[in-house]
Amino acid sequence: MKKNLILTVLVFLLAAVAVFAQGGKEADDGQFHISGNVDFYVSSSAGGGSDIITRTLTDIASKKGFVDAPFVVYNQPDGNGQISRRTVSTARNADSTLLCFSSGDLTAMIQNGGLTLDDFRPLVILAADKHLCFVNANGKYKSFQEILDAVAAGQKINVGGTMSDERVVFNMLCDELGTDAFTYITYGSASESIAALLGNHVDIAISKPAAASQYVLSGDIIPVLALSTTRFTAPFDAAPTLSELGYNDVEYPMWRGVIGAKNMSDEAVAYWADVFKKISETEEWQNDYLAKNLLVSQYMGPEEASAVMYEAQAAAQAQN
Amino acid sequence: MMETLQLLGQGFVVAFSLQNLGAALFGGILGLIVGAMPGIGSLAGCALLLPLTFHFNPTTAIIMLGSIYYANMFGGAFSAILINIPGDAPAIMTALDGFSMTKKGQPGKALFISNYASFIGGFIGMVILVFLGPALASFGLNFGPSEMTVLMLVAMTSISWLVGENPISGIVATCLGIMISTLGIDIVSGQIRYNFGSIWLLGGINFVPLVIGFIGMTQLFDLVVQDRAKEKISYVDVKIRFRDTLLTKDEYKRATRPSITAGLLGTFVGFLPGAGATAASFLCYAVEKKLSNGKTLVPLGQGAIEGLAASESANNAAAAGAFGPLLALGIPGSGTTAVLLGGLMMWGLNPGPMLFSTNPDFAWGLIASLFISNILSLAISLGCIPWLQKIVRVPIGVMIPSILVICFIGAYSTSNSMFGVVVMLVGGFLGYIFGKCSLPTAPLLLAFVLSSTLETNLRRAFLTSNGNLAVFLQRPITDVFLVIFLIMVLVPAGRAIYNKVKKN
Amino acid sequence: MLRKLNWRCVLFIATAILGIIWAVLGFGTYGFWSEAEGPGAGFFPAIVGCALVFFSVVEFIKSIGKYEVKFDKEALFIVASVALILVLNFLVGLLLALLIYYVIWLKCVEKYPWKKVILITLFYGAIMYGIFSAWLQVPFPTGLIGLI
Repeated sequence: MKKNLILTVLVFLLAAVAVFAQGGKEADDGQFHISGNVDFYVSSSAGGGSDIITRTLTDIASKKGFVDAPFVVYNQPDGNGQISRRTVSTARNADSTLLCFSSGDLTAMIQNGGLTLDDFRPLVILAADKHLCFVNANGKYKSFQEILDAVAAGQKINVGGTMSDERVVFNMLCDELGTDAFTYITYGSASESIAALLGNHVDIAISKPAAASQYVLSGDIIPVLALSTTRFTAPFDAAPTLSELGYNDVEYPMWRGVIGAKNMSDEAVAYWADVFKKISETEEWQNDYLAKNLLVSQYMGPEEASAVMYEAQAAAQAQN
Repeated sequence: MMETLQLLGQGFVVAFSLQNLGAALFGGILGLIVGAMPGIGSLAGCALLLPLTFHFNPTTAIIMLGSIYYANMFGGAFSAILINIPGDAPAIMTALDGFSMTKKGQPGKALFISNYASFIGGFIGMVILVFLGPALASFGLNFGPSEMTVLMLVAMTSISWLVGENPISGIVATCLGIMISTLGIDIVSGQIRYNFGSIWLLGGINFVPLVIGFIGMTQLFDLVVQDRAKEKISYVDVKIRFRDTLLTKDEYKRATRPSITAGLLGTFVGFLPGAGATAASFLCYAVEKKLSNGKTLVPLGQGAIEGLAASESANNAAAAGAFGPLLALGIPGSGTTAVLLGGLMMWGLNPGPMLFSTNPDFAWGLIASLFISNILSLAISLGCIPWLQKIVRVPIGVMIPSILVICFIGAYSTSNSMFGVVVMLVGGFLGYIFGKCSLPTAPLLLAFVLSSTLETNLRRAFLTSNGNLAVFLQRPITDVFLVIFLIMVLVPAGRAIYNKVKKN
Repeated sequence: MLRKLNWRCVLFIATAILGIIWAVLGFGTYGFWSEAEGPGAGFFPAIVGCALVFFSVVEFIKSIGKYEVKFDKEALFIVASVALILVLNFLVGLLLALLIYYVIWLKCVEKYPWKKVILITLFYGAIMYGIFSAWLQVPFPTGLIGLI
């Protein structure tokens, strides 16, 4: 008797939890609808760059009502991010599974092997960033021309930067200059490589503008080369591009975007492209994310984003 | 100097409003709970609680952030002391002596000492931060690859101080720890190594599940033996009264001196970019073992007040020290401070060389709030002790499944994947086998933490000098550490040889 | 000779083999030293691997016939618990698996009365679910059935 009662209670509890967890609703007005939760995967742990952009995106989407299904953000940094990428590429609910993806992730994915862009559906690119070379204001060299002269005189130059996209742009730079006098020292993060530059442990640091702006403003470090086809805006405007120094321009734009599972339907791709377009036009996105991180707004839909991503993949594969 | 104090005073005025104190109290309680959860720890704890602060105005939010950060540090020691599961990496050393004290029936005392030492360490760290912060942070920049390499060599060598009667077993465990840390991608060259074809191993092994397994799960095997033999009902069979929690005069004395030494040393380690609280708590513990050699009531590692105080004080001092490079240079010294940096930037506050000149009230308000957070965290956690120490009276039969459940949940939560659980289980079973074969596990865990810093810096040093060993001789700081290292290696070796010769 | 071998010796044989694997891969596959860049990806692990082999052999010789290592048969309770949780996790997801295991342990191993079992489980389960799942939003795996 007692056992039966307890069993009934347990079953009731389980049922209650099950109803609670499902929560999703079906609609049949012919439009594309998300059923259940949206699983948004992030290949870095909480607090990382990919995490911040993902939280911003999902916050805006929920607050503005662009998406009525709840977002669940999964931080899965295991296997150098490869685990979350594999999970998304083979996701069962392909229409509502998203992955935060950047050119740094792309480089890592190619280095790890096993997955390529063919395993995903590129959706959008939301922001873009390019790199600069910096030197210490109290260091040996004050301009990139001085560095080139030193290389010609047989000096070795140490360059600091992170493991992913900065390493790719470094290799492109070396190929263009046709020299092996540069040695690349890998650091865990942009702030670590700038700390190494401040302590004169490397001669050049390659970094994106956001991580370096404070030190440029305070006069501790000087931008000496823009790895772009045009000069940057202030306070980085003093740095010339490579073409001004008599070489071809080198650039490997660092973009951040979103990709989906391989089996995502065309309707879902169109739906998500539209959602992210709406997000990228909000004031919150412009002020709270782009402006704060010194990023350029650069919305690209599925077609364009796909082209850019495949181009970057080709560049990364060429070096691997 | 006067100006500094004046600015700090203004900071206190801002922090002492009812709303700000309330926010700090609220943040402190939440931070304590999250920090005490194994697998969450201070990094994930700060990241998870950060969004809470967005509901307040910037000043209140930052004050709340500071108290979350500090309370996390206090809370990390709780699970280590009470159920021998270190919540995060720096708590390994805390578990050594803290849990031993619990087993002797002094859980309340252990918690009290840990809070007391945390407070002293945090306080020393903050005072140094106020007066020497920017200067020390700039000095820390001098620590390049070769300096860090030699510093880590010194740290690795001091592991041998922690190993008991059989140093060679300790070396074997150290080597194993280093080898585990080489799994996955080599960050210097970007090359994949030792993954044995598995994509799970690409990113290497996460430290937290490894610790939960090696220390937390391993103890289950002993517990289940006790449980089946019915020799003990709970961890502690004596009745625990609140007044047993309070320290005697002698115990205060025993806790204070190590707390101060460790606080000073820990702050300094915290200032170094990329060294972190784990290295600090471990180094200070090793130093304390040398300093108090023979003067403690019980040897360090078996429930010595000195060891517990040193480790906890160093941990919190380093947490305060890490604010130096963060505020003065904008360089986060640890994962947790990186999250805080993100939080500060949300409020339009850009830590870096310009911070103290462009936003002095903000910067000093934050520092003042850290002082207050330290006191609040102390008060909150002391208030929890009477309830918390009841945990050890839970019968072992209930404790076993409870610990196993929390090991699973904690290991899963670190990376939200079953891989963490697998690492935890492997660690747990290995820990049991090691224990049975009298192979120590602490050196393995410490070597695991320290060796990746050692390896990357060693290789960076060679890269910057194009493979020239002279890089280790030409720099003054490196030379100092090299001399310390040589003394540490040669003196015991010389003594051993001398003894052998004398015997023959 | 073989009788004198104990589990400690077996452990050192295992660590020596690991050391050999690390050293061989370090020297061979991953690159030990390159003229231009100094130490490669295999440099550090290869050296440590060699050291491990050396010290394992030393300890192996020292341990022969000296230690007696016996594993407790009670350890099987833990092994069985882990196996049960892993199987249940596959079927019903992690949180439910842990909940069911908890009840089974208290009822079948500890032989507590049902009332006590339910009370303890509800109390502990509520704390764990409340903090990790509801508040901290850790996305636990749901298993084949897909509850919770």
